[in-house]
Amino acid sequence: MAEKQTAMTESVYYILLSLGTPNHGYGIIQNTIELTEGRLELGAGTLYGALNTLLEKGWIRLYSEDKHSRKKKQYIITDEGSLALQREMGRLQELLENGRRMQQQQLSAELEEEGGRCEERTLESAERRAAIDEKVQVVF
Amino acid sequence: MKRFRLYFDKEKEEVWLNKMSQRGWAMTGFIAGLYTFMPCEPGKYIYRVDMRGEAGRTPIWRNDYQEYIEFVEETGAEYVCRWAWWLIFRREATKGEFTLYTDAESHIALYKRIRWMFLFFGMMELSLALSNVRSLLDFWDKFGYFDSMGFVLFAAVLFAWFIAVGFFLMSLKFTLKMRKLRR
Repeated sequence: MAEKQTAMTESVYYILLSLGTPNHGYGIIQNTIELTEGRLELGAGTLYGALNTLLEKGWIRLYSEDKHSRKKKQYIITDEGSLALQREMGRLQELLENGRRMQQQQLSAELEEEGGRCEERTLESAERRAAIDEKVQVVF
Repeated sequence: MKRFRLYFDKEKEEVWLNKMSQRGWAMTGFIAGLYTFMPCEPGKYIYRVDMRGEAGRTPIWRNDYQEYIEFVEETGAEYVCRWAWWLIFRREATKGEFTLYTDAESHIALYKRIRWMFLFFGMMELSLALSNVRSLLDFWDKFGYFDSMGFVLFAAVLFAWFIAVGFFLMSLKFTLKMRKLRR
């Protein structure tokens, strides 16, 4: 299914994250709100569609179903789903690492340039360097 | 209170329902364009119109949305009514922003269902309109003039064309909406 790896949607990613332990629809929504500090509130239509797609893909399975109320179907992630999640996390990590590396390169280039000027204006330079070092520390 | 309205665009319908709610009228039922409203505290509910069926595949009368309805109700919303493939939900505004589709992917899938519905009925209406033109020509062949009967037929043909074109325009509209979302 995921031979060619494509980016997961945010919704799918958080659904899979929420299903490490058995969970039902509303629980997934709550968990996602908590993890994203309120930024992402999954809509019921979106979640329902995504759960069905994931069931078809075999990334999640039905864990339990209360036959009496039919409400609160619980789902749990499958091995295949965990694998997909792992792959996606690897992909995200690569994105982040590459981004950080590029930022670092740019900053050290800036630093060198500033360093060159320092020789001319030694008085200001100490302050500037300190400011840049601070910047570097904040970023990393 | 009853109000008669025909909406082809579910987003405009939502805007209207929410405006009515702001004015203290909560929609409680719908039959063939006739909306029923009950008084409520102004702005108590947020309304959302949903569409779940696939034209040509899901029979209009099919009644297995129960699972979906319960799923939505679990999130604190309330099922208001259903008309064919259209479902209307509402949630108290105090519970926060209420949206059913929160990512582009599922929103596009919704628009696709709606667009396909308009295309499907547009094509059916078109074939009806074409066969109507045919009977109109037959009429002319037979009588060589249009009497009042002929004009009724003529009006029916015009109406069928009008609806067919309308449906195609609606499917075009939803294509544009999808494109906007993709961007």
